[in-house]
Order: sequence, then C-alpha cells, then structure tokens
Amino acid sequence: MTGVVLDVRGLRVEAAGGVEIVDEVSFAVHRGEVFGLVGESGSGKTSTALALLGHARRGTRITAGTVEVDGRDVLMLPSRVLRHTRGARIAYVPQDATAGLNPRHRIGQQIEEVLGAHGKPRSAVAPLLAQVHLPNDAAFLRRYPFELSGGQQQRVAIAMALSCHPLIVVLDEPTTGLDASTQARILTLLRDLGADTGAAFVYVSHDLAVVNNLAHRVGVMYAGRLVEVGGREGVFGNPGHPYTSLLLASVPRLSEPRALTGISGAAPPPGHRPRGCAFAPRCPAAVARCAEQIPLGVTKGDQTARCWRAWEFTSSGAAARGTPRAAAASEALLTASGMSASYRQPGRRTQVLWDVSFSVGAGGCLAIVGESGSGKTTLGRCVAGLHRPDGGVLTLAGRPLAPHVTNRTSSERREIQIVFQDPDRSLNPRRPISEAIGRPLRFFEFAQDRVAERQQVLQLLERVRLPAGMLDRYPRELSGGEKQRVAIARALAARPSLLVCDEITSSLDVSIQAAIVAVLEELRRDGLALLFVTHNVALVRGIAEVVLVLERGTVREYGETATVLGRPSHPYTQQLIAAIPDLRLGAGADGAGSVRTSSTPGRS
Amino acid sequence: MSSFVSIVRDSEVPRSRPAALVLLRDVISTRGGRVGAVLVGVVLALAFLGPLVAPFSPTALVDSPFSTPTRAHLLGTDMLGRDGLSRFLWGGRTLVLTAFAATMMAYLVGIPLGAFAGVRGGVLDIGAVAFSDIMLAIPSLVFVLVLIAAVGPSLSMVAIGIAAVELPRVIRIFRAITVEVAALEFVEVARARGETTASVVFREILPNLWTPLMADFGFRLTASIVLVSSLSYLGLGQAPPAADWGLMISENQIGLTIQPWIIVVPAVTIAILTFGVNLLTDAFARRIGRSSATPRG
Repeated sequence: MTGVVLDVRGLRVEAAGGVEIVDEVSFAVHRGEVFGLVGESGSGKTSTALALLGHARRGTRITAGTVEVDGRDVLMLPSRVLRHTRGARIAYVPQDATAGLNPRHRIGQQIEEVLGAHGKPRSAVAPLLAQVHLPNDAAFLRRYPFELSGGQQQRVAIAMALSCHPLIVVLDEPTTGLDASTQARILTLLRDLGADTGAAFVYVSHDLAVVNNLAHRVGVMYAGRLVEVGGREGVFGNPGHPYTSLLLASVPRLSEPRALTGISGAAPPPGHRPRGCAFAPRCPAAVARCAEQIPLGVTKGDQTARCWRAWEFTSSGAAARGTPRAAAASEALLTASGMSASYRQPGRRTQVLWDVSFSVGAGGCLAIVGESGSGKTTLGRCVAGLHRPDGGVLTLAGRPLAPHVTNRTSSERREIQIVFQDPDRSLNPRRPISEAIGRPLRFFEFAQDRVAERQQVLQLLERVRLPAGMLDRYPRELSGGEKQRVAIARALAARPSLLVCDEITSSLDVSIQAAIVAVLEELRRDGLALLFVTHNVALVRGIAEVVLVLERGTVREYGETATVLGRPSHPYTQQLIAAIPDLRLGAGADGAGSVRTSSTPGRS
Repeated sequence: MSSFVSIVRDSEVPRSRPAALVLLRDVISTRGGRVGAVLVGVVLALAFLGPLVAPFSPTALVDSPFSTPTRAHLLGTDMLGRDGLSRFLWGGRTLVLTAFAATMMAYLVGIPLGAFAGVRGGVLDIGAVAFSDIMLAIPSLVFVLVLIAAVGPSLSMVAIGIAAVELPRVIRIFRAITVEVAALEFVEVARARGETTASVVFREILPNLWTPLMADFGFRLTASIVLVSSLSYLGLGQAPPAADWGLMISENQIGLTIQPWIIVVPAVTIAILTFGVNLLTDAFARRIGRSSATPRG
C-alpha cells in the first residue's frame, strides 16, 4: 500500500430542490487496493461511484466536496481535461455490460475505438483481451455483443476500462445479474488483475459476501452517508456501527446455518431522512442524541464508524443453530413424479424439465435451487397449475391433481398458493391492501360479512408483521419488503397447506430478505409447507430441510439439505457451492484463491 | 429469536393522496397543461353559461341581415337578421354535449369489449379485432353520412354514428393495454384462485385502464368535436333555426365578405376548444409516461 490515489472529501450530491442523495462522504483509496463500497438499494452508492468520475446523473448535481485522483480534483477540471482523465486515469465499468457496449459494432472495433481515443495503438487489443482471459483471435474480434455470454460481455467491458492503464477502476455491481459460477470467475479475474496491473479498484456492491472475498478495505453506506469505513477484517469481523452488525447478521451463510435477524423498518428515501443519524429510527442501540447529530467518526485502529455508540452494540440474533428439523417423515402432502415440461412457440418447442420427481411432507420445506435457465420457476408454476406440464403426475394429499388450475377443484386451488418474485407485478396497483387480502377471504367464503373480513385481514397483516395502518394503503405507498409481505398475506388468506415461493426474496435487500425469511419460519411452525424456489443456495441452508438441485431441467441431487450442501456428491452441486462467496472471515482478499472455483479461462 | 422482525410504526408509513388528484395537480402544474385547462375552461363556460347571459333570443329577428357589429349587437347579425352574439352563446352547448355523448358511448361499449377480448382471447378476440379492422377501413365521415342518409338526420343519430366511428379505435387501444396488464402476475393470481373472466375484467383489469383512459379521452373528444361540427356544417346535425356553431358557419357563408364575424368567431372557438383539449391530453400523456419511467434504486 503506497500512496493515496483517490481521496474523496465531504462529497455531497443533490437532487433538484436541494434534496440530499449523498452527503459527507469521505474516504481514501491506496494504490493497488480494492475498496469495497457496500450498501442497500437507495443508499447512494451508485451516485457516489459516478461522482468519482466527476459525473452526476440527470437531475442531480455534485454540490460540495473534492474528489482527488492522483492529487488533482476531478470536480474542478475543465470538461476537456475531465474527458481525458476519464478512461486514462479513472475508468468505469457499469452494472449492465450490454448497456456499455454498442450492439451494432463488433467487439474488436469497439475496443480499438477506446484505444484510439486515447492515442494507443490498435495492436494493444490482443494483449488486453488476453488479460481478461478472452480469446483474441480474429473470429472473436468480429463478433457482436449479442454473440457473447453475459460473463464475456462483462470481461470486454473490464478490458475496455483497463485499456489505458488507469490508476482507478470504478466497478458498479459488475457481477449482479450473473450466475454464481460466472460471478466467481469474474471475481477471480478482478483479483488477479488488481495484483497484475497495480490499479486500484472501487467495487460497488450490495453483496457483502462478494466484497468480503475481494476487498482490502470496505466502506458501508446507509441513507447517503458513509457510516463505517475500515479494513475488511475490522468491518466484517468487529463492526463498529450497529447498521453494519445488523446487516452482517442478515446475510445467509452457507457455512453456518443460523437464524437471520433482519432489520426492522426500511431505509428512509432521499428527502425523508431525519436530522441526525438516519439509522436511528431503526437502531436498537439508539440514544437521544442520535436524533440530534452524527459524530464525525469514532476511530479504532484503521476503522472509523459514525456512531455515538460505536462498538457498544453487538448483534445478538446470530445464534447458531442446526438445520431446520425434518418434519416428522409423515405422509407426503405433495408428490411429483416424472414431471416434464416445455414452452411452445410457433414452430419451436423448448423442453425445460425432464423427469423431475420429488415430494413435500406436510409442514415440510423443499428448496428447489438452480441457476437461471434451470427450469426451477417452471417447476413451481407446474405445481401451482399455472403451466401445463407435458407429462408426469402430481398428487395432493394422496389424490391426483389436475395439471392446470382450471381443471382443479376449488379446494385444490385454495390449498396450493403461490407468491411471485416481483410484488410490483403481483399486486394490483389500483386495489388497496384490504382488497388484495380481503378478496380471497370472500371468494373462499371464509368471511361472511365486511366486519368479519376486516377482522381476518387484520389478523393476516399481523401474521406477516405489518401494522394495521397498512389496511387502506395502496401498493405504491409501501416499500418492496412490505409489498412482498402483503403478497404472502394474500396467499395465506386462502388458508393453503402448501405455499410455492418463487424467488420471493430475490428483488429485496438482505436485511429485508432476512425479515421475510423470519416470517416464513413462523408460518412453518404453524404447519404450512413450503416449496421454496431460489437461486440463492446460501439462503436455503437456513430454511429447507430437503433440497433439490436442478441443472438445465434435470435433477442433479435431491436429499437432505445438510447432506447435499455439506457433502455434495454431484459435480454440478459441488461447482454450485464452490462458486458462492462466503462471509466467513479468513476467506479474504489476501488469502489466495478464496473464491474456490475451477477457473476455466475463456468461457464464462 | 426473530426480535428484529419488522414492525413498521404507523407514522413511518408514507401517505399519499389519491392518484387521480395527484395526476390532475401535476398536469395543471405544467405550462401546456395550464394553458390547455384555461382554453378548455373558457370555451366550456361559453357553451354552458352562454345561454344564461345571451342578450337576445337566438331566433328573434333584431336587425337587417348581415349588419356589421354595433354596440347593441357585438357580433352583428346573421343572414336573417338575428343577433350574432346570442346565437353564438347559444350555439355551443349541443355541439359539446353531442361530442361528449358520442365519446362516452364509444368508451362504454369499447372498453369492456376490448378488455374482454384481451383477457379471454380466442374467438371473441379475433372477432373484435376483425370488426375493428373492417370499420377502420371505412372513412369516418362517409360512414356517418351513409348512416344518417339511411336513418334520417337527428342529433341522436349523429352521436350514435360518431360513437360507431370511434368504437374500433377504442377497442383496439384498450385491448392492447389489457393484454399487457393481463400478463401481470396479479391477474394470474386471480385466475389461479378460480375467478371468472368477468371478475378478472372488472376487478383486476378495468381499474388499471383509468390512466390510459385519461390520456386517450382528449384525442377521442377532439375527433368527435370535429366530426359533430363537420356534420352540422353539412346540415346533418341540428336543424335550423336552432343555433349551432357548425350551422352558423354554413348558413352564413354567403355573407363572408360583408360580415365575417358571424363565421370567424364560432370557427375560431371550435379551434380553440380542440387545441386546448390536445394541450391538456399531451400534458396527461407526458405525466403518465414519466411516472412509469421513474428510475428506481
């Protein structure tokens, strides 16, 4: 670690009307260092990342602070010089690689253009691609972006960012949206590149485990402020800020199944942030003066936390515990045997499931895991009767179940309920919450009159831990996590015996995810069986006692969670598990090869 | 153990006003929306309050034909010597009401039909689309002219004819929006519960058609206004001696060079009305487009 290459002081980004998006952000990045900037959605991490390049999104302005790159403040540079500085000294890799690549230009052409703009020879293209482990033959250079996989596109974007040997590369969620194994390969690449090129990386991510595996130093953002900054071991091992501790306790860990705690409430959006510490309303350790002002920082070693009670609070919720107990291996509630399914388009038929069999015990939980395209969502939809399978038999409590909902009896339809990934699509935006939850109560004749209905809706809100005040709200007035709880309450209104959960926490922040999982656990204690469809293998560990691993529509492994995830026997499962970055300490940036993956260069 | 499970306190839940009010306020706050609202408001006030303040009866002969404006007759007189201002103040109500009634009829039939076609698919859908395509191939004015020639001219026939002309457009637009909404998962949830098609349409789909309806309304109303005035200009709307802006233009056109006011004022008023409605509609459409494209995160 020699010399500071990036020094940010007192950065403030405002939206129209002086609403703060980011404020009082200060941190430094040293040569060759990976700095992880973590935060949940809306915390201002992307606005901060863009400000490092002297850029503000449309409708926002950088109104205070300095961003010194190698000693020069990029916010003060004239636009002509700034243009040159971007790319040459500080480069940016966007989250969505497809957005950064022109779909009508060949890969080679695009990289040459970047090189040309900075006066570099074209011959530099080949070594650049070799650096990111991509083929550099003429055939590859003649490809268009759409002919590349997501991982390859991201490699091209990284190659373009590295083309002028910048001092700093800012990466904004570069692996979000990629499969775990692709992500693992990109992370390995980034770590190697950091060592080889000497460039410093600013890695923006919501994924704490990824940052733990990559960064030397970490900054934690909450509601537009940097609440904690320091070395990785310190921040993740002995967090000073209560938010950091609670956030860490929310992350599911593959290595140690345990109860996730979650954080109550939701982060205040810009314009609604309280005076003083924005986390205080959600903070279990908050004291009176937290609402007044925030300390500039309490320092311990190389770690600084902006909290009056820094290091006084430790999350107690992370009690270790065993894998969820297997439901008394009683009668099976739902069985599926030999399920196969496909999608038909005019002139084409794509098979997505081959001969899938499983069973879910009454009150049990089966997790279906797989990467995107594995057919896991289709399987959930077949169970719910929303997709007509080509073959196979479903039974519910011993009786055969019609393949499509339209042919099922009313009680069969009631007994299996489904919750979808995106509550914005699964709740009618024009219906109040009372109506969303009340309708199934009336439909299935659980509520005879309006009074009884309202009473039951309130009970259901209580079961998913939502306040009664939500009753007359509309979905748009709720946060993502709250909407998802409403969707769960609506499913519960039908008094199901099986709940199909299709990636229900995937669009939520980890702290919200943990709270939803806690709700599901309570429901299970009441005897509800779950079919939990997810790509998040680490999450499965704490929820399901049985897991089914799908790869391209075929069952690779099926058995008790502890066995399958602890001692995977199939190579695919092994690979899947190896690709998951873990939050365990010691599996860090300095320990070589901690992203345990068989890195196969080229294809990712 | 789940001690931190979220219980959001009531006061923390952001409250917002009903969507329609917010939308209206936002539309009025844009310059185009404000100008449009003022123009439409002035013309509607003229049309509906005019008869109350008209100085003369619209059919009384008060001066010699085609007299130029005087202090007593601000817009002069028409080809029979009736007071121009009074006829102008009386002449807007039927035009606006007919256009409005025609538009409403088209919506009342077209939206449910389009929504059912979109949700149900199959024969109903194919039929609705085919009907729309055939109707769209016939020029609007010709269709209404033939209809009125066959049934005989009357105000209600004009409204029905115009509604029939608007219907296929309404069906196509709202069918397309329905197909989009029906792909959303809350519709799937309702179907999985076993709700009937009618219940899906009325409970899940129709409430979501409000916003597009507000954006579409202006276009439909403008088209109807133009058609009603064209028809009354052609003598197929209100029968003389009733006062009507379209009729005023046609019956006085021989005097255009001597007494242009009696023609220019109603013509310009119709233009102002359609212009104002269009401005307002644009403001709605832009606002709706913006709210759906609001960046997240």
